[in-house]
Amino acid sequence: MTKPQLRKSLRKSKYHSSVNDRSQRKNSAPKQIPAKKTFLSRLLLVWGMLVLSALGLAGRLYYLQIVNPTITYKQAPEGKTLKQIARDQQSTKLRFYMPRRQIVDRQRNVLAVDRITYELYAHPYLFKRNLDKVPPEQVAEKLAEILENKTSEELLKHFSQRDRGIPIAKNLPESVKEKIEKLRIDGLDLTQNYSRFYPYEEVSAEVVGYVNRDRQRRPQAGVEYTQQKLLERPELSWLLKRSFMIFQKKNQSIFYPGELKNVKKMLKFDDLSLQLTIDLRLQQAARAALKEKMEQYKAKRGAVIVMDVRDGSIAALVNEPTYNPNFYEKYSVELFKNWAITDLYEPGSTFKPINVAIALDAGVIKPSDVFEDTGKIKIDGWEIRNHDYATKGAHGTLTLAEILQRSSNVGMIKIINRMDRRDYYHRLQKLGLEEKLEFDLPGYAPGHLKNEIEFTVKSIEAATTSFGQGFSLTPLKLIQLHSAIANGGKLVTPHVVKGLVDFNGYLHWQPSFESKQVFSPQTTHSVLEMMETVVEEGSGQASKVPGYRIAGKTGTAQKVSGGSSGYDATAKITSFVGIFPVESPRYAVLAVVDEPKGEHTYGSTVAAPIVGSVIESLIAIEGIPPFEKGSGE
Amino acid sequence: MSALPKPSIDDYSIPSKHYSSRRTRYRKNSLSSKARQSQSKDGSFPQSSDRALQRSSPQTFQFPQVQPLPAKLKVLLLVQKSSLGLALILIASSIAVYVSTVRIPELWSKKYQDLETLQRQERQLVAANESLKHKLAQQAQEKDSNLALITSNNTIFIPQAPPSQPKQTNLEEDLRETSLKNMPMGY
Repeated sequence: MTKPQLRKSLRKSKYHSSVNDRSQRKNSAPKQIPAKKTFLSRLLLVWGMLVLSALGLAGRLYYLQIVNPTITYKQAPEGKTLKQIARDQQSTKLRFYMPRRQIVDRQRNVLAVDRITYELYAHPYLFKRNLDKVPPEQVAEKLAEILENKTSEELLKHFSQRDRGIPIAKNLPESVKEKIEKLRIDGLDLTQNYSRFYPYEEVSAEVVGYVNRDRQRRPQAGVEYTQQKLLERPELSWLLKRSFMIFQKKNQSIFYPGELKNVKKMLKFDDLSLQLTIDLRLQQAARAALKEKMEQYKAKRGAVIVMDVRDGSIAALVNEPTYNPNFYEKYSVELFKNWAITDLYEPGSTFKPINVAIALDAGVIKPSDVFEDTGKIKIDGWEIRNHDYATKGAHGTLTLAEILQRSSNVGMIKIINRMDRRDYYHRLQKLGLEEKLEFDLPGYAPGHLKNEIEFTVKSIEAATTSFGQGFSLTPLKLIQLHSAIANGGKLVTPHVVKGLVDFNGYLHWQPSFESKQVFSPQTTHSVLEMMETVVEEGSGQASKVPGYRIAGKTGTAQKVSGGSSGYDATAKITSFVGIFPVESPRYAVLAVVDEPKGEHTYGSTVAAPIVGSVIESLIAIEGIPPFEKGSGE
Repeated sequence: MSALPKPSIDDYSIPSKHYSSRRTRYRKNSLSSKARQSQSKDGSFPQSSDRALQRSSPQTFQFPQVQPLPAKLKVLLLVQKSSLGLALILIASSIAVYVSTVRIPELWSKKYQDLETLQRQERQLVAANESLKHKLAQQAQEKDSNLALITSNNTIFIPQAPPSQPKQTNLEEDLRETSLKNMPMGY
């Protein structure tokens, strides 16, 4: 059949059918009229209902989207627009923890590192194993085996508190987490946390400090506190579309940061760690030496500072007693401050070499000058005696070196008396005694001098200052001044932060420090030689190390008592400062022991041996060869 | 180049003529219809419809006038061809979509997890290593550890050697020595 034919036949059939229809309708028309009406009305009704409901929906939509776009029903968060709710549902916030930078010492021993710990929560209503209920008694028993410091009775008591979200234990290590997971009990929830771990415990606590173990992880002391900006790496977080970026597969969540920008952000990390100038071995040795003497003399507290005189970097800073930063909550708050930095004390005789240097620089004395030591002297109606006046009386004619060797107060007063008191005061100020020092550890206290008028009017003030009493400074300031004598007169900035170091030990950032000239090199050279005789022949012999040239000065100062009378008769603070090696000074070592008890508690007996053994350790650690005569300087 | 004999122009000109003539003929054929290309290449023509034409005009060779394909068929052919291309594009794009939405995130997240695990292990190793060092140091400090401290007394300090002077050598003497050494002893 051709196409036209086919069309024709189709037309025919249509025509026929339509004719049939018409005839049928004609036949049944009178009967069907009411039915047609009801049909139409029904149709209209349904249509009307549909239209109405559509209109209603549209109205509701208009209301929700434009008039009042907040949802008030229960499941939705309050006061949120649909847009916000939709965003919340469609996307999820991802958080990536960036571990805090490590702190390493001079040898790159790690002093502080971030560690993953777990918190255990129990939800007793969920206690199940393979869909079978597990009685809480059994869970408590199993858990008690794993958690050492909890008994099953204690745990059961915990479980009866609530039916969900009971905190059971904190700071659980990875090994415990694995054991708990092996129980395969539902309802035991482990959340991951990071906490700071200090592998060397108390060895460097006074320098490193600690970080709170709560969620904010706020640093509380030491370098952790002051170097927060360098140590902290902010947590990464951003909103991510849930649609296909995150899904579960074989119990393993898969996520993808999506945009390249985010990937870059995530992978932008470095292996830099904060390096300190502290030497852990020296720190350990200094602590051992200090502890030994403190136990021997039942001292209240003690401190040792070792400073590299060339740049002011601190190789060891030890306070006793100290604390273990891993369990900081067990210690009293007193221990968290570094008293060698925060507490002022009257330095006593250890300040005498500084005064000699001031007088030499002022030109009022020459290194060859001699002074008559009468053993006691009267100033402003006060009688001042030498510490050994009762046993030895007057010393007679003394050279400058002998004044230091015997720690003669009278000799020092006579030196300072040659100076204009105002000039002396200004020279003391120039040393920065009262200035604020930006130190890497928090809480440095500036020293305290009497006011200028009092100082210049009363001669007693200059006299007491000449042998290191009547003013106060921190042990840190004292060693800074002695470093200036050791390094040719430069006042260097003490610091413990060396910089940011990478895995290979290359420094990527270094802080810069200023230094200023406060003494002339000739002056410091002659003072250093005088101080050497103190160790060779004078009061500092306990710090001697055979074969090495060591300079030093002892100090035994009375402590200021709380009352108005002035000084406490029994409480002393003994100290010794050593500089070594004299031929080319590298280290200044200061030991301060507060309130040693018993007889013969002087700088020479308590503090000098500590400095001696610290220098021994320094020789071993640094490999410093003994001094050979004729080898030159 | 110069060593080779220069090819004469004739060597090339003759076949080129030949080719050009053949090409023109081929072009004429192809003008008739695309569908008949394959047949016109080998020169044999369909017998049934063209015989009459050949007989009526034996003098002038006339190419058969092939009716163009029906439009529908053309469309179908086009659809067939384009659907093949479309299918290929779809396959490629579906692979690309799979790779970008499933495979890459899967690989990425696996690798990132590896990285995290490694970093965690590194930190654990560091912590364990340092704790061990600390324990060792503590043990060494105990009085009955029988370990000697390094002091200046039990340490040997080796003085720095003076920088060595390069030995003065005489080339002629050296040469003479070696030549004597190499001389056979019998002569």
